[in-house]
Amino acid sequence: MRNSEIVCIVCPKGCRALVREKNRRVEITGTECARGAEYVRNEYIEPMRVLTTTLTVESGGKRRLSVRTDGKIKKKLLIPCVRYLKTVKAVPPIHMGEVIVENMLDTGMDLIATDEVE
Amino acid sequence: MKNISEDREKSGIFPFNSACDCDKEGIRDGELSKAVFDVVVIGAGIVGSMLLRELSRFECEIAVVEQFPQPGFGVTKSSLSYIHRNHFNPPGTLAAKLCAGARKAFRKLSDELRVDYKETGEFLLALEPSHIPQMMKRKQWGEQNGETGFRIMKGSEVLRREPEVNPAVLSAVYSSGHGMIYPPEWAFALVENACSNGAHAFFGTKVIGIAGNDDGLFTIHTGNGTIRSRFIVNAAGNKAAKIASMTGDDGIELTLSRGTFAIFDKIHSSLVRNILYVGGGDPAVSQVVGPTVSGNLILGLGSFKTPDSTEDTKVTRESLDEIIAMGRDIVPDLPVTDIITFFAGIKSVNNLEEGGDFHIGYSDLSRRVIHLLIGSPGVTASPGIARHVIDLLSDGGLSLVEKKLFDSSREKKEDDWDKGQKWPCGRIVCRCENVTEATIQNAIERGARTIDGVKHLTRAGMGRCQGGFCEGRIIRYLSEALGIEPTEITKKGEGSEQIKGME
Amino acid sequence: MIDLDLAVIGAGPAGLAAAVRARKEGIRDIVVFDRDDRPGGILNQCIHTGFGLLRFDEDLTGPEYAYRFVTEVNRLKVPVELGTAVVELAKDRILTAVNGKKASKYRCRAIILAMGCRERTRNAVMIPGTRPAGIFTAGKAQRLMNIDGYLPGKSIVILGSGDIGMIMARRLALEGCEVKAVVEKNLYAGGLIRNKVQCLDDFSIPLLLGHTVTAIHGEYRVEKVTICTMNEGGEPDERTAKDIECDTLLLSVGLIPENELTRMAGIGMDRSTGGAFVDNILETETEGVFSCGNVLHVSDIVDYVSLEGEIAASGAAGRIRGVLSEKRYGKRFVSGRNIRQIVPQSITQERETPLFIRVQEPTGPARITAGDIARKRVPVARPSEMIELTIEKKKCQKLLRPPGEGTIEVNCREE
Repeated sequence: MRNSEIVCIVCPKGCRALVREKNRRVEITGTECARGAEYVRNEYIEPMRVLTTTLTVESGGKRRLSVRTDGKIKKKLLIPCVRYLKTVKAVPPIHMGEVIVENMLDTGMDLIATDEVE
Repeated sequence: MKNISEDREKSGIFPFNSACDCDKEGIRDGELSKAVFDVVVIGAGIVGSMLLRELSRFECEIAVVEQFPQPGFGVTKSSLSYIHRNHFNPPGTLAAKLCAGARKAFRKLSDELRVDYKETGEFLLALEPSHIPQMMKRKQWGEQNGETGFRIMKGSEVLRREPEVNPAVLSAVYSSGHGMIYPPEWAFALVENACSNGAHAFFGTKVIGIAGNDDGLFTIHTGNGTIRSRFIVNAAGNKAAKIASMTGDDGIELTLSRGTFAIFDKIHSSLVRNILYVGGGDPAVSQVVGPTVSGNLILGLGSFKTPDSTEDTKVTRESLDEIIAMGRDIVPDLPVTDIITFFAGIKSVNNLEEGGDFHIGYSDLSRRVIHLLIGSPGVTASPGIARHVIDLLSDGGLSLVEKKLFDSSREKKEDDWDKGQKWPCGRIVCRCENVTEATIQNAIERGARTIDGVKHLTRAGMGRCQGGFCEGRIIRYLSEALGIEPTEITKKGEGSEQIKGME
Repeated sequence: MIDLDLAVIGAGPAGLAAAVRARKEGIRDIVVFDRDDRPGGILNQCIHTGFGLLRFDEDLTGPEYAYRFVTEVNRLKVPVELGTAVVELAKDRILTAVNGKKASKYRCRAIILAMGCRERTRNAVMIPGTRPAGIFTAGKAQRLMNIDGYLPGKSIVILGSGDIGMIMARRLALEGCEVKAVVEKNLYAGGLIRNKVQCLDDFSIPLLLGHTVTAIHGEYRVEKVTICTMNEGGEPDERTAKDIECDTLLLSVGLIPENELTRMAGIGMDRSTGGAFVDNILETETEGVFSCGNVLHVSDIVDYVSLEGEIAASGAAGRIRGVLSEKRYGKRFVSGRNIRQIVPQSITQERETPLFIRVQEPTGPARITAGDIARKRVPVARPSEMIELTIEKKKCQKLLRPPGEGTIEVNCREE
């Protein structure tokens, strides 16, 4: 059995939800809406986040290229991804939304440019 | 012992000498450790810089050594920046003698060196009856020192001229023609002009010991190597006692005082037009509200406490509360929420004690070493001090022959502000103070080596956002111009690297 | 002197949205001025997501959000004068703009102020101590990292739990820096709850509520800071002083609307917002001059900033076409119980109007009312989050007739 407290961020209210796990059943109390319960459940099972960071630009006017994953990845993979991206250089020209790294570290998500570099 | 020339880049020795007349026989930077100077000035504050510049009129080999990376980084940077009328010094003192004619000297230098000098009026305010004798004493001192034009004003007239002043004001002594400068900018220009007349300047070079030799030369040991000189002038400001002990003159003690200052956003530049002191308005211990040469409002001083050490420029909570309370005495509606920066400065105030005075004179051991133990108002006195020290050097045996080709004017490279227009042209880097890329590049070319150095010369980063938008670019410009990594760029010299890495 | 229908000062989210809307409403002669080299304003350094949830129903980064408007501005061929600073604004809608080559004067039929905001500096909050390297506002650190590629420090304490501070905590933590604590003098976080969770909790960064930094140590570089708890009087309790070793102090202690030009033009200002007084078309007390976005009042999310840009643009278009009636000042909104600020402050036109409200103190479920003309229940109210309260069009009549005196009190009452 595991208990954990998760703050819901679906709305500004910030409900504190309590999650109890017993016999592989997850029980959630403390949320006030279905969306909140859904969020808390997902957050409990496997928290997912969008990674945003910047990459070195090989040449060109800008020094850094801002990037993000094209969807949420497992939270525990954020730091390994950032470490990996230290080895990646963006080569201009780069367009908004362009895929820089496909299926980054097998997360199932691409890394896309969130800016342009000529 | 390390050779100075090897450490040149690292120690931040200026490119000033590149502007000097190198056809002249003698000293080149590469040979400095073997070089013999006639005079070495220790300390490139406003006093040392002024002296170096005045000495550069003569046919002698001179140099200044300074621990900080740029002129005016010590007391000079944190001083009140006013060129006072001569009413703060008791008649008959050396301080009064040396402050005489200061404004005239500064006006002339402003033309020659093309640095800002502006004048404004001053009120010594009596907010309560006990202030009246204090302000009257200043008027009397001023008149005894040969100043004229002091006027006694009724409270109502003061309020008509300065409507923001405390309405309780009883009366005031008014005088016009008080100068305003930005001292670090002046110190820089003075050194620059001296160097273009053949002087040498070594920055980031801390004096660690001084030895007398049989050949009649002093050896000055520094963190970057040794320099030899026939004469030494100790213009080390707060550290003058320490330097004096190196020449064997022990037992000199400086009384130190820390003042705290607040600078307000330029939107309040017209809140007060004159310098406002309470009572006797001693420039080292009293409260003051006034304009600055660059159009800010300054609130200052107050704290008259001996700090822990010569470098203890902490701003304390008590001193902040104290100066704000004192400031509100003068201007009740002080816009405290628009303070953009605070800083503290330390100065020696021996001369302000009862019967105190500036002490400028020879070492007990040699007439070729001169110690400057001065205090407030040091900036005002600096031209007088320079003349006085030159006389002492001459009496001490330095032969002074005027150069035929002394160039009193500083060549100012035309930058974006110089074209006689109201607004700068060029790419604006510092948006609060409208400083352009060319102006910043120009400052770096002149020898600014640190973020604060660029700020002192250009005002970039000095405005209301305090570098929020321009600092990255300034780090980049410095890094590119100096050919060093951005991580090596400092705020104010070694140890103050501003960024810790590259992504 | 160049005659111009509409000048937009600032090409950030407010100014770009305003320019697009004004053009769509048929205003031909528009120029957008921005002192930066690229449009987008502060969005360009905000590489994190959280932008556009309301407007686009997407979770965009700052540059992506800006890009949508920039694309639109380009498609509509609205001229954007970059590298151009507006340095003077006169009462009669004459502005002076300087670029790399010259200063130009424009006489404008309408002006939209969209200059955004800047951060409070360390010094404005008066922390005693030395002045070493290593003290940054959070936004300055953000710019250094995201634009210049410089890492401001390795071991960090953040004062203030504003959104930028918390977002920088995550950014630094991801880069392998040690974020030792976020110190907040209030008993609640200054920024959005999602940032508290995703930026601090995710990285186990402690949020020290009811604490403040009372001293900075280090002669050349920050070496440590002293923190204290706040006592009930709102003062630091020196007996609780504790040092935290760090090489960097970030400040995220609030934003100030950048209203130097507004003041220069003598436009009436509201002390509670730090922006101009505006009516419900976001027109200031000077006819033809509008204000929107963070220069009007600091918003919590960018979607509102763009919305305000559009409201201002519609108003400006009406002014330019001469279809707006003469101003009839209705009653003014004033802050009642637990209300910090309200924008707009008055109603002069009959149209549906969103009121943007911030509360003073956090509360649980509460009722927000504007006199007897609008009310709304909220599950929770926090100073960090704006509350939108809509005034229906027909209720506006009530405020305008009879025109003139009186106030409408806005209240937040906990239930």
